[in-house]
Parts: sequence; C-alpha cells; structure tokens
Amino acid sequence: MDTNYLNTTGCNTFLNCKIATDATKKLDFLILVIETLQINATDSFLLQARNKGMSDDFLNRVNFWKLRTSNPLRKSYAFTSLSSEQIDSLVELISSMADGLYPLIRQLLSSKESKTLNKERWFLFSSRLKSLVRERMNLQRSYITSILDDENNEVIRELLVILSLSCGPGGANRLKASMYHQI
Amino acid sequence: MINLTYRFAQDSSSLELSGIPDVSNGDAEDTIGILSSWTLKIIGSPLLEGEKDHLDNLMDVILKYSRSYISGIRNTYISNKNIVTIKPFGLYHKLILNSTKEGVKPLEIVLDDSELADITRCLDLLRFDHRFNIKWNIKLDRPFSKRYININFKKSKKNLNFFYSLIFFLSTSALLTLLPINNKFEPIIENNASQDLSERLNN
Repeated sequence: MDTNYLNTTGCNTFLNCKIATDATKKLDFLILVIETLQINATDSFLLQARNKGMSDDFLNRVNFWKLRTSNPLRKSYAFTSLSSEQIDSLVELISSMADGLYPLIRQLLSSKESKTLNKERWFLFSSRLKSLVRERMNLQRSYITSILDDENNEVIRELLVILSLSCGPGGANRLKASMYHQI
Repeated sequence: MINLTYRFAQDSSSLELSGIPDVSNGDAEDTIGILSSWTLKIIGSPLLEGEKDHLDNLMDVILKYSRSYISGIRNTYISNKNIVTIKPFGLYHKLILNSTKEGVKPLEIVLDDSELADITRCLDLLRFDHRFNIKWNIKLDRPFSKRYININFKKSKKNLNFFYSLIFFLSTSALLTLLPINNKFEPIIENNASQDLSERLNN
C-alpha cells in the first residue's frame, strides 16, 4: 500500500464520520470516467488491487462489478451499500488510476489548448462516456438524463475535476474526505 | 554548509525550494530543515517568491480550496493577514497575492482547472516529501459536515424542481377556488325505474 496514503489516513481524521449518501454513486461514475479514458481499465483496476494486496472484492471481475451495483442509478442496482473499507480501497484505486491518466485528464481540462482540438477531444470523450452511461444506467433517473442531455457537459467536467484533484500523494486523502460526512 | 535545492514540477507549475539541513535538529545531509527561499513558476504568470510564511499561506489556501472543490463547493479562502486569497472567477479561479511591501499592487493570477490541479499536485508533493523536515502550517483534509455542504453547495446545482412544483400546485389551487360553484343545486334522484321494477315483482 502507498505509504503516504497510510500516513495521511492513519490518524483520527475520519473518526465520528459516516459515509456520504452519494459516495457509491460518485465512485461508480469516477470509475466510468476512467473506463472512458482507458480501454480495459477494469483489468488495470484488478491488477492494481492485486499489487496493493487488496481484499477478494477486487480480485475478479464479478466481485468488482458487484461492488459497482451499489450505485442506485444503475440498471442493475443491487440494493446494497459499501463498507468503509471497500470505499477506502476504491478511493485508493481510483487515485492511482487517475495518477496514470493525469496527462489525458489535464488535456481535457486545460483552457490553454487549441480550441478546435479541445472540442474534438471533448466530443470523443463525452460521446464515449454517454454511450457507457446509456448502456449501464437507469435512463429514467433525472441525474442520468441531465448527464445525457447536457450539451455543456458540466457534470462530466465536474467528474474530471474530481479525478484531477485525486491524483498525487495527497489526492487519495482528499477524495476520501469528500466521500464522508462529519456527524 | 551546502545549500540544497529541490524542485517539484507538474506541467504548468514548477515549485523550487532552497535551504539547509537543521543540524541542531539532527537532519541528514540531504534534508532541508531551514528554508531559505522558494519560487513558484506558473506558465504565463509572473514568478512568485517569498518567505516560509508566505508559502505556508499559499499552501493552506490552495489546499483548502482544492479540498472544497473536490466536494463541489467553490468558496473563497483568505489566508492569515490577507496575504493570499483564492476565489472562484467564472469557470476559473483567481489567485490574489498581496505583497507585504508597501506600495506594491496585489498580483492577480487566473487559473483554469488544469493549472489548479498542477499547483495542488506540486504542493502535495512538497508536503509529503521526506527530504523536508519542516512543519507546514496545514490541516489534514477532513470531511465536511452535511450542513456545511448543504449551505455551500453551488446554488445553481440545487434541485429546484420541488420548489417549482409547489408553486405550480399552489397557483393551480388558487385558480380553482375562483371557479363559481352553485351551492344551491340539489340533484333530483328519479326512483321511477326502481318503483316500476317493484310494481312488476308485486304483480
């Protein structure tokens, strides 16, 4: 496991905190964005989990998919919730995956790039993400329709910003803090 | 004693720190215990430099802003003595740096999301670098309370559907109360059919 991550989360920062209601939704969508940016991202997730010595939940595709079905916006919602250990592991995985994809994320967020090139990149990225959303999410939910109908891609941009700030040594702890509420 | 210099670069930002080991504190040869100077280069912006306090303020403000931004909250953060301020600026972020010297105008730098992420990453690299034995005046990232999130969450993001439906319901109800109703109208129930049937049965 990453030592910096342990150093920052090993203290009492998360005492008297509970999991935020939208944590499972947020985590699943962040994984979806990573899948959009990288083909076969699930394999990379599983490989990273194995390298970090994570639990059985992350060792095969089915268990990993089961974790993701805790997102209430999915077509295959399983009416389950994630434990804090599962959330922490997902946060760590997302952070390390985002770290590898940082150049791509940065390109999409940058306003200094060529406008036509940026527009093309955004078109490719958003259309791929939207097709994944259409395939896996419950299209009758307002959040999903807002993602699909939004021409400015505001929600998608927010997800990319979250990923960009989740990178680096302090990123995992920052993302983890956003997944909890103080009681 | 050798002056040590370490650099943290991330695309648009480059943070360089110089200093010497604090021998009285038992620092190793490659550890900076006393910071003598720092510079932050952001592409397209003037060079930033200052003392440790200034860097402390910059780190505190930017890391707090990034922490809240990851939760979808865009608040203004001002450091102690009003030296560094960061606030939302449309889709961008405005970093305002006030000089401690008199007569120097504040420096304003507009950052986009990628530049904010770059600076945040540089500062993260610095605060978790074991080659520095310096106590930074930064609090660890903590979860916000639900109340704080509800109050500060972007107003535009608030779901106003319930509010609109309530207004629609009230206005429709008010219109319906204006419809004239004839209270004196009494419906006449004709029992001829049932009477005929009972007569037939009796016969």
